[in-house]
Amino acid sequence: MMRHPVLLMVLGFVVWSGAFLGIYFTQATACSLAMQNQFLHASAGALRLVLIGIVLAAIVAVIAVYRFQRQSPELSGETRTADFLKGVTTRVSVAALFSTAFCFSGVFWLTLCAA
Amino acid sequence: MSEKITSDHNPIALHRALERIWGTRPGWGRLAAVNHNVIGVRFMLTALVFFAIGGILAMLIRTQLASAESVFMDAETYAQVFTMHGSIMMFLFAIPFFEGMAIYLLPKLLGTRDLAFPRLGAYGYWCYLFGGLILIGALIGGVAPDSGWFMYTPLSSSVYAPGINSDIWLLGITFVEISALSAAVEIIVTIMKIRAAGMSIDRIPIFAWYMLVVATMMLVGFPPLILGSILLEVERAFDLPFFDPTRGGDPLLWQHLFWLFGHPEVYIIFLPAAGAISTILPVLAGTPLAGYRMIVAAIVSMAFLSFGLWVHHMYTVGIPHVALSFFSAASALVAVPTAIQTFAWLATIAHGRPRFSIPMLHIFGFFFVFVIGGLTGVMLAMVPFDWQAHDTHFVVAHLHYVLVGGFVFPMLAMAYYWVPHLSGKQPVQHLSHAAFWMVFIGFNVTFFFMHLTGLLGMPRRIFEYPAGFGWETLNFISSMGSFLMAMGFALVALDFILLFKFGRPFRRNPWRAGTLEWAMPTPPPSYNFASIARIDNRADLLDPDRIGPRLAAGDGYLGIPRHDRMEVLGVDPISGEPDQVVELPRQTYLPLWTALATGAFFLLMLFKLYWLIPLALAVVIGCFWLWTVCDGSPIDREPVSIGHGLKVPVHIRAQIPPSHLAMVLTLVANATLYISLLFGCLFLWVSAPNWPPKHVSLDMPLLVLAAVASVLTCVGNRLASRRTNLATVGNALSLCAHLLSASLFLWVAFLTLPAPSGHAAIASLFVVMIYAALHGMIGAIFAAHAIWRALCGHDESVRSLDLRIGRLWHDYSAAAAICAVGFCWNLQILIAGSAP
Amino acid sequence: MFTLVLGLFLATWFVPTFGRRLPPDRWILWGGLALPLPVLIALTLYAFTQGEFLLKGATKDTEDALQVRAIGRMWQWHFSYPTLPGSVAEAGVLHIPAGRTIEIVAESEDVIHSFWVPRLGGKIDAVPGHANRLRIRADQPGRYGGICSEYCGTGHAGMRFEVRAHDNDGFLNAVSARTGQ
Repeated sequence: MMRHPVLLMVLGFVVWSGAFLGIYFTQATACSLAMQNQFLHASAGALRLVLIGIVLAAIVAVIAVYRFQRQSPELSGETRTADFLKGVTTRVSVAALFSTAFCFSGVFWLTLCAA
Repeated sequence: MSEKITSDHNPIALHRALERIWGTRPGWGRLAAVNHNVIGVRFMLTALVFFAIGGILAMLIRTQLASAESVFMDAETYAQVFTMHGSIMMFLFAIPFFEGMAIYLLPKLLGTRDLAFPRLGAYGYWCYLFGGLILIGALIGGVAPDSGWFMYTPLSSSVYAPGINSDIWLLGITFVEISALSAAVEIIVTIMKIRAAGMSIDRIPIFAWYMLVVATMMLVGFPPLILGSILLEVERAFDLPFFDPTRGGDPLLWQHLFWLFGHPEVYIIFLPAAGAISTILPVLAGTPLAGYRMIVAAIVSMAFLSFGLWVHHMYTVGIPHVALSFFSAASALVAVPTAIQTFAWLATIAHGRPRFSIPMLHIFGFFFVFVIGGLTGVMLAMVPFDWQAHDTHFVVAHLHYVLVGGFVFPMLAMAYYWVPHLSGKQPVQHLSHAAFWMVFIGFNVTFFFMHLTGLLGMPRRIFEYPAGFGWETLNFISSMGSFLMAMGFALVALDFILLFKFGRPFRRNPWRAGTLEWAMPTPPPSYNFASIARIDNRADLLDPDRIGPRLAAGDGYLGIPRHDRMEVLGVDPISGEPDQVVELPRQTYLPLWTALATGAFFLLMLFKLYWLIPLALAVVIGCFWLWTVCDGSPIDREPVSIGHGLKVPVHIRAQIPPSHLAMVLTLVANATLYISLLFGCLFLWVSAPNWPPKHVSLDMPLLVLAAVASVLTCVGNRLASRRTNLATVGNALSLCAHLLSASLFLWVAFLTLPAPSGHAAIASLFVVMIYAALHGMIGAIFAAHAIWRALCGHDESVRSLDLRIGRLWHDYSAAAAICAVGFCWNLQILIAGSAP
Repeated sequence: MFTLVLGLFLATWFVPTFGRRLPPDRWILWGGLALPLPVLIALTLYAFTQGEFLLKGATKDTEDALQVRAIGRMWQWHFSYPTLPGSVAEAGVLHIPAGRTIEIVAESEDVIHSFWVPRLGGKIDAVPGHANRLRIRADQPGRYGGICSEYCGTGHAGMRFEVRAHDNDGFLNAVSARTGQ
C-alpha cells in the first residue's frame, strides 16, 4: 500500500506533518509541565535539545524518503508515466526537505516557552 | 453472454437509447435525479441564490456603515447580518459553487459519463439545500446566528447565547458539511478510477489534479470543524464543559479547531479557481500550459503547507514565540507555490498569442486583485504587524481581496468560458464589458479604501462609530463602491439571462480548446459521451473536433447500451488502462428520503426533542441500508465485453472497486476527526485553567476487555472471508464481539464515570468512549448485513466486496477502540500525576 | 512586487514577443522560486528577530514595568493597579505614567475581549481562564483612545476606554486621589 505511487509522492510531506505535530506537542507539553512544576530553568536546555533532536530526525527522515523514492521500482521505469511521477515526486520531496529545515529553524534560537 | 451486438453505428439511434437509460424523468421524477449534469447545475444555481442573499446582507452592512452613528440597524440585527453574510458566503456559496462546478465538469474533462457515486451526489445536494434552508429560515425568523461567522466561544455558548441562534449555525453548517464531505469522497474516487481509457496519471487534465488536491484537503480539513461543532453543540445541549473555563474547558480549543479548518479553507476555495485558470488561460493564449509538472508539485506541497499555519489567526491569544515561529514560517512558505503558479501562467501567456476576450478580462481582474491580496497577506503574516492590524478593517479588506480576487473573478472568467457549453449558445457581448468594469472598479473602491480605514484603527464588527476619528469619508467611499459593485453583479446576471434567451447557437468547440468536454454535443446530453474514448495524449492537447463525431457514432468503448444499465469505464489509477466496468445505480428517490430523514434528525436536535432522535437515526440507517440492497444483483456475471476486443470484470468482482476506495477515504476523514478529538482533549490538559480535576478512577479491566472484543471482530471477519462454510459463524462472531465491546464502553461511560458535566476531563473520557461505542454499533450493523447476505445465499468467495468493506470498518474500529483505551489510561495517569 | 507582476502580465499580454525567448522552465524557476524565496526568508527572519527583541526587551525591565490588570466584562474595561497599594480600580479609564513600560495583564470575566490602544501599539486577547500579557508605553503625556477589538456581543461597539498618560506626580495623584474620597 505504501508503495502506491500517489502515496509515495507525498511521503516527504507526511514526515513534515508528523514532525510538525510532534514538535508542537512536545513543546506545549513540556512548557505546561514546567509551568506546573516550576522546573523551568533547569530543563529549558534539555527541552531545546529534544526539539532539535526531533527536527534533525525529521530532516534525516525526509532524506531517507527521498532515497527510498529513487529506488522504488514504480518510479524508475522507462515509461512516460514513471518519468512524470518521478519528476513530480522529486520536486515535492525537495519542497518537503526545504520546508522541514525552514519551518522548524526557530527551535535553534528562539525563546521556548514565553509568549 | 447473450448481449445483442447490433453494430448499427447510427448516432441518432444511439442517442435515443442512451438518453432513455441516463435521462432524468419529467415531473416528479426530477426529484429522483442522480445525473451529474442535473445535480451540478442545481448546486451552482442554489449557490448563486445564496450568493445573492449574502450580497444583499453585504449591502445592508455598507448602508449601516456609510455614516457615523447610523440608526439604520440596531446592534442585535447588525450582529445577525454580518454573521450570516460571512457564513452564507463561505459555507453556502463558495464551497457548494465549486463543488457544483466540479460535479458538472469533471466527468466531461475526464471523458466519462458520470461520477462514481451518483446517488451520493444527489444526497449531498439535498443535505446542502435543507441545511441552507434552515439557516435562511432562521434569518427570516429573526433568530439567525449572531456570534460572528467564526462563532468564538464562550460568546456562542449557552451562557451568553441562550437562544436557538447558535444551535442553528452549529447544526445547519454541519448538515451542509455532510454534502462537502460526500462531494470530496466522490471527486477523489472519480478522478482516481473513472476516466477515459489511456488517460494515465500524467495525462489527466490539470483541473482534475487541482480538484484531487482540493478534495483531499476537504477530507482532512472539514472534520476538525465538524468535531468542534459537535463538541460545542454537546456543550450547549448536554452541558459537557469543553469550552467552559470554570470547569476545565478552554475557549482556545474552539479557536484551534475552527482555524485548523479555517485556513486550509481559504486554499480550498482558491485552488478550484486556480485550476479553472490553468485550464482556460492556455486555451485563450493558444499554447499548452507551461510547467504542468511544476504546478502539480506546487499544489501538492501547498496542500500540506496550508495545514501548518492555522495559528496565524491567533497571534494575539498568547502562544509561545517558538511555536508562533513554525506558523510564521509556514505562512511565508505557502506563498511560494502561489508564485510558481502565477509565473507558470505568465510564461503561458508569454509563449502564446493571447486572444482578447471576456474571460481574459476577468483573469486580468484576478491578477490585479489577488496579487494585492497576497501582498497584504504577507504583511499580516509578520507577527509585529499583525498585532497592529488584527481584527481591524484592514483584515476585512485583505480577506475580501483574497477571496473575491482568488475566487469570484476566476469564477466569472470560467462562467463566461463554460456557459456556452452549458447553454449551447454563444454570448452576444453587449453588457459583458460594462459589467466587468463596474464590478472591478466598485470592488477596488470599496476595499482599497477599507485598508486605510483599518490602518486608522477602525475595528471590525462594530455597528456604529462616533464621528471625528476621520473614518466617515473613507467609509462613505467604501459604501458607494459597494453599491457600484452590486449593480455590476446585477448586470452580470442580466448578461447571462440574455445569453440564455438570445445567444447564437454554435456548432462545436467555440474556443478551439483541446479538452474533452468540447468533444460532445452542447448543451450536453445526460450521458455525455455516446461511447468512451481512448486518448493518446495529455488531456488538454486533444482534438475535440476529430474525437467528438467518432464518439457520437459509438466508435469508442461501451458504445452499445446493455440491459438498460448505466455503465462507465473504471481504470487503473496510474496507467489509465480499463480494469472494470462500473455499473452505476439508476434514478432513485432514496437520496431524497435519506436526506429528509437526516434533516429530521437535525431539526429534532434543534428543537431539543431528544427522545425522538433514536427513531430518526434508525430511519437514516435504514435508508442507507436500502441503498446497498438495491445494488445486490445475486447473479454473478463473467467479465463483459467493452468493445474493441477487450473484456473486463464488473466492478463488484474487480480488485479495487470504487466503493472500496470510498470506504478508505471515509475512514481517513473519520480518523482525522478522531485524532483531532484526542489532541483536543490533550490540549485541554496542557492549556485549560482549573486543571486537574479531582481524582478520576477508571475501570481499566472492563476497558481492556472492550478492546480485546473489538479485535475479535477482525478475526471473525477474516474467518468468514477465508472459508465459505464459516461465513455465518465468522460474521456472527464479529457481530457479538462488536455488541460486547460497545456495551462495555457504554457501561463504563454511563455507570462508572462521575458526571461528565462536572469537568472537561471527565467529559473528554466520556466522549472518547462514546466514539468507540458508536463504532462498535456501526460495526455490528456491517456484520449483521454480512450474515443476512450469507443467509440469502450469496457466494461470498467470488463477490467478497461487502465483506472487504466490512473488514476495513472492523479493523478501523478495533484500532479506534485500542486508542480509546490507551488514551483513557494515559489521561488518568496525567491527572493523577499532576494532582496537587 | 505588485507592479512587477502586473507589469509582466500586461507586457506578456500586449507585447507579443515579450518573454518568448525565455523558456517556460526558466520563467517558473526565476519568478516562482528565485524571486519570492529570498524576500520571504528575509521577511521571516526579520519578524523572528523583531519578535525576539520585543520579548527580550520585555524581560529585561521586568522590575521596572508597572503592572496593570485589565479585566474585560460585557461591555466595559476595569483597570486596577495590584502593585500600588491604596490605588482604586476604575472602569473605562486607564491611568499610566508616561515614559514607563506598562505591563497589561488582560483577563476576562465572561467572553473573549481584546485590549487595544491603536496609538500605543499591540493588542492582546482577554480570554476567560487565561491571563495574557502585553507591554505598552506612552512617551508623551496625553489621552489615547482604546477599544475592544474582538467581537463580544451587542455592546461591542461601545466598549471603548481611554488611556490617560500623566507625568509621574500626576499619575500618582490620579490613581490615589480617589482613595481619599
